[in-house]
Amino acid sequence: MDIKKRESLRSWLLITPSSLLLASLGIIPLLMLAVFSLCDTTLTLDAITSFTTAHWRNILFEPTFGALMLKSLRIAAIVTLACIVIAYPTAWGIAKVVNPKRRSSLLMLTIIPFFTSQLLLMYTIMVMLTGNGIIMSGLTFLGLAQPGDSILYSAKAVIIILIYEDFSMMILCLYSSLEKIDTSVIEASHTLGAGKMRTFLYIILPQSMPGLLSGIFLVFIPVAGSFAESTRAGGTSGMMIGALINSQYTNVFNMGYGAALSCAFLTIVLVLMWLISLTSRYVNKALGGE
Amino acid sequence: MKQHMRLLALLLALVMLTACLSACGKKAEAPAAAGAAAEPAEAASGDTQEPAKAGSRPNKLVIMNSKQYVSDFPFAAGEFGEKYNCDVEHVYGGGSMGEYLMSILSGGLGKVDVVNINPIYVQQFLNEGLLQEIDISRVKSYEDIMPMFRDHKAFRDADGNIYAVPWVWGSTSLAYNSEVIDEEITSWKQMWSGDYAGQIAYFDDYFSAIVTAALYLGEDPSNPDMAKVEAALLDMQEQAKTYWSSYDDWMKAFKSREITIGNVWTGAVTNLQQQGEPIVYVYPEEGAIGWADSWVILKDAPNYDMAVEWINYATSEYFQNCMATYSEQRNTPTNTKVLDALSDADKQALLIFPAIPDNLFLQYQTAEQETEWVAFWDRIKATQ
Repeated sequence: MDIKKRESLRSWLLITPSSLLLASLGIIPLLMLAVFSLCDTTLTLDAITSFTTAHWRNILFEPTFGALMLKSLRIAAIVTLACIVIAYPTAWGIAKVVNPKRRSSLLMLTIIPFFTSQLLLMYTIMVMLTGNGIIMSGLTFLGLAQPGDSILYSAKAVIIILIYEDFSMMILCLYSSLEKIDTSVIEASHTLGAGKMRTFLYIILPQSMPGLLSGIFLVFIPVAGSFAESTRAGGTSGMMIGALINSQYTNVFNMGYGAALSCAFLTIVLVLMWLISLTSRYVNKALGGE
Repeated sequence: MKQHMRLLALLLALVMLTACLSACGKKAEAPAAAGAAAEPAEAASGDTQEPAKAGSRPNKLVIMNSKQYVSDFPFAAGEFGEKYNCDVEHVYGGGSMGEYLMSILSGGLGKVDVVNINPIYVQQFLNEGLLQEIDISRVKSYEDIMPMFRDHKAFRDADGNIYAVPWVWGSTSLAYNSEVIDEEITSWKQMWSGDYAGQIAYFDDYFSAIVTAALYLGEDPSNPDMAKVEAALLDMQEQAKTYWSSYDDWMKAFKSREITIGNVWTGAVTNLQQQGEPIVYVYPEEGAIGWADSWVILKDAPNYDMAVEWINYATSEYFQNCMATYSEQRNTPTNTKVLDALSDADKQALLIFPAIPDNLFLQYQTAEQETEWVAFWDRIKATQ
């Protein structure tokens, strides 16, 4: 066997375990979801005997899915934008401003929330948002709210909780890109007369685009599919698309409709992410990046 | 590169530290877990908890129930094990019936014997072919069970065969903060009046939401005019502060004074009263929802005889009296002999003093109606 064939065989052997893992935990479940979405059964003990398009017709012609999907995408967009605004200066500060010796400690502080239960994080913020909680008491003290005012059980509360849960993910993604930017390029930009905004737009933004895109994907998708936060803290208008999917599996065992809803949600989000990716590439090129 | 290595090392160290801490935590919990129950997270995944003398007795019984819901109390599984020379094992089914169902389907059949479920799910389990008929001749106290539950079709198949035995009952009715609300609340109309807008918690459950609105409107709860119900629910959506879906949701909102009134389960009220909260529970004149959690025997149960003995024991006067008077957590018995013998103080603690209301509407519906009502309630909640 010549060297080329041997190397090719070795490559195949190396990628086989991860490919099998990806197929069994990723691709096959997704295919099953697509098949189940067309099944006319509750998918418990029954064998699949007949197929139906009723679940997809429900999605297309009932207003519930469209309304909740739009609402979920709107909340996800707000949360993602807020995370970007908060995370950019923070990640820049950690990557370029603070003493390199302290970077590790600051990054550790950033990832500490990942070591806590998400439910616990959510309840902590909910306690802070009650009428007599620390946030509302502080706002009352500053004269920005009336005593007893509360923003718990509102869309604002849901957005605050989701930002709190997700902004550290954005910081990590942006940090990984910002840290690689050569400081001398930024200095050259300033030397050649570019202001801070111009340097950001033409040097920092294009070079941090991979991290920014990763951050957008890692924040937008989970937020759009979240349901615990909006159900617990969103009040009577808190329902998001994730709650609709969840109710099909936990309350009524309508697995077929749940699968169809999941497929529709995944498709819409993937198309949206693909569009964002295309747009970012276009913007990057327009700004002189690769 | 060096920076990346440092970051990677830091992450790995944190992961290892967390793994060590969680391992230590589990070791520390182990002795306590021998006599108590497993953590809910473990329970939800279908983990089981062996009793202290597991495997040492000739008989065996596997019970699926919620954690700390009577069957794992000392007078329950413990005494049953002694009496019937039986190893009793608990499988905790998780927070929702969906999780119960998943646990049953992913290895529970052929392993679990008896399950405690809400009446609204009995028909669903029956339709899925998950249950087997109960030999009711061996359940000695069956005739003593409250007729409104015992004779209800919710617990039987279309031919009248018995598949579930009502065990603990309760209601979903109206509760309010007596320190904030001065007037006496006697009707659902007062909750809908607009006087308590922004202070109401309404149950996020399609059945309770629709039936409560129907009771308020004076409609037949089993077949209400859905257009009227829709208007009432949209009105409530405007007025309510939040929807709730668990004990915890309701109690947290009440204790933080975010809400002062709403429909709620008896269990949450007794819990809050024990904590000294100023909460009053009433049965409105239009009626309220009644439910009776019941024992069913799963298809392929490996210990059918012990499962029937368990149901016989759990509905016996002795067990039901223990359950009603257990100071740590009281539950309302379905056995009429026990109910009649309870003191006034016990009845007050169980929120059935001076008498059990005669206009409770029992949770029950057909599969077709369920699909329709779930979609209806989702549509209401999606309306902004």
